[in-house]
This record gives sequence, structure tokens and C-alpha cells, in this order.
Amino acid sequence: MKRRNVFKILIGILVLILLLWGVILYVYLDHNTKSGYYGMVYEREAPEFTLTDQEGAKVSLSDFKDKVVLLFFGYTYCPDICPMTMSVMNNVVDQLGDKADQVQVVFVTVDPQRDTVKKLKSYIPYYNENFIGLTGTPQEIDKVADDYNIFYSKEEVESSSGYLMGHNSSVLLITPDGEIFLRYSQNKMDPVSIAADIEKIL
Amino acid sequence: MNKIALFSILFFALAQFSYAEDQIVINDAWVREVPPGTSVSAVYMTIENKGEHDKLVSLSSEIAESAELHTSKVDENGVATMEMIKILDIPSDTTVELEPGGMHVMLLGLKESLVGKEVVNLKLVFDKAGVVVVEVPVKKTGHMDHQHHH
Repeated sequence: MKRRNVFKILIGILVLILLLWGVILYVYLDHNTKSGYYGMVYEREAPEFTLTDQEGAKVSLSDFKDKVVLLFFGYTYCPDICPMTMSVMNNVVDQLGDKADQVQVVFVTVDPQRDTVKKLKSYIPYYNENFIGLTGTPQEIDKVADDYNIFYSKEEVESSSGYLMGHNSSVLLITPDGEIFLRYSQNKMDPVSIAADIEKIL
Repeated sequence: MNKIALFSILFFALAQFSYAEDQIVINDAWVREVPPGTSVSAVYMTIENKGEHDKLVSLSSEIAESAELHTSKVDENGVATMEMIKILDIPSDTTVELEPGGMHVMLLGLKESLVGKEVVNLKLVFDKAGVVVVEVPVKKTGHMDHQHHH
């Protein structure tokens, strides 16, 4: 009789511990996603920058201060991840319908050597005429990537492509008041969820 | 005697070819349509090996200067890189998937634009199964459909 009671108590304690663990996890996860945003809450100031777009015009982040900016870094020689991100951006814009006017997608190249103004001119409008592609001198690009904590590097590979680029592939959501509010990594690329985040902000 | 020899050789050669077809089955192949002027693209597919353990040893396509197998990786900091895979092991009775964000055949140095093209041909060479040629349809992705108006 005694043995069974002890057993029951142990089970009871185990259940309590599991419940507590569940609560802790829930609170932790909830804190991370912060009142229901899909993207990861980042909340850092978005530093100003001025680069050159696909028309050769100088474009600054402050030009879009009344819009939500979706900013991401990549390069046109990227066959897989960057086209995928472009596709997601297009789907997000589609999801937003009329509200898409208040959103600006901005692509910044980490490969200014090959991604010239001319290259961007043939690349960006293919995906969406309203998207902006930016390039600049290697120093200018370096500074912006640094300001935004975007790591990138040239990989000399044993491939006839010459070189590939490793780069941070996250999409940053910048609010109209100049803050990098949310960050979407490659495993958070659902267009419907991203659009929902944007609608909450607008 | 010569005729028999010739016939045997022909039969043997054809048998090799059909062996390849039976062993390796390629499904759901597609290649990304990319903007004009872009010289790289990616091909995706599933490779089913119904036979014994095999290896994919080389790739080529008439439409590109070269074709290589790569895999995309994103690390915990969000940094995306690609790694070239020179030889791909395909164990017996397994299906290997090449899909966006993962493994893909990278076409390098596209000789013509994919825009408006229906299919491209891709040649895969396997260690045991030999040559397999796949007709890969070109898929428009990421291109905003201008008919869809708000």
C-alpha cells in the first residue's frame, strides 16, 4: 500500500514539473514572438544610407519615411535563395492588395563588382517594377552592410561561376519611424504571415 | 558472324541505356526562369534510385557553359552560403530531393535567355546507371503577374 502511494506522489510531482516546464516554454516563446508578430522582434534604429538604384539615381532610406520598407541583401548571381526571396516579396505585395502602395521592397547587392546599375536594371523590374535595387562602390556597400549587421563574404569556389557570395539572407522590416522592427530569417518566409505583420503596423 | 557481333553490340548498348532508364527515375524537374541578362539559374527535381547504390558524377546542359550541383545553407545567424557537391551519393532504394533552399543544379553561363523558353535539356551522368537526359520545363517564379490587378 505504501509503495503505491509513493508512486502516485512521484507521478504527481512529475506532472507538475512538466506543467511548469510547459508554462515556462510558453512564456519564453511568447516573449520572443511578442504579442503575435510572425517576424522576430529586433527593434534597432535603422541607419540612414544613400546608394544608387537601377536607374542610376541616388536613393536614400529617408526617401521612404512614410512607408514600411522590406530590406534585404543579396546578389544577382545567386540562383536559389535570392530568387526565392524575391518571389516571397512579390507574394507579400500581392497579399497586401491596395496597401502595397505603403510598402517599399529594397534589394541591396553585396556584389557591387558584378551587380552594376545596368545589371540591376535588367534584374529588378523582371521581378517587380516597383522594387528598388541598390548598388554602390564597395566601400558604400560595406558601410551599409556593417550598419545593418549584415555579414557577407566572397567565396572563391572551385566552380566556373568565379565566385559566390555568402550573405545574410534575412529580410528586415523598417517602420515609417525609422526603426528596424522585425527580422525574417529564411525559415520565416510565409508571405501571408509577413503581410499580416505589415497590416498590423500600417 | 559480323552481323551477329554487330547485333549483339547494339543490343548490349541498348540494354545499357534502358538499364539507366529503369534504375534512375527523375521526377518533377523544373528550372527557374530568370531575368534576361542573368547568367545563372537553378534546376530542381527528385532523383529516385531504384537500383543499386549509385553516384551522380557529372552534369551538363547545352544551354549553359556548365552545370554543377550545389547546396544552399543558412546558418544560425542567417548567413546563406552555397557549397558545391562534386559527387552525390544516392543509396539504393532512396529518393533524393533537389528543392529551393536546399540542393539544386546550378546552371552557369547561360548561353541564351530562359525567358519564353519552354524546356531545357539536362544531362546527368551516373556512375552505374550511365547517362540520363531530362527535359526540364522552365517555370516562371517570382514574376509578378500583371494581369492580377487590385
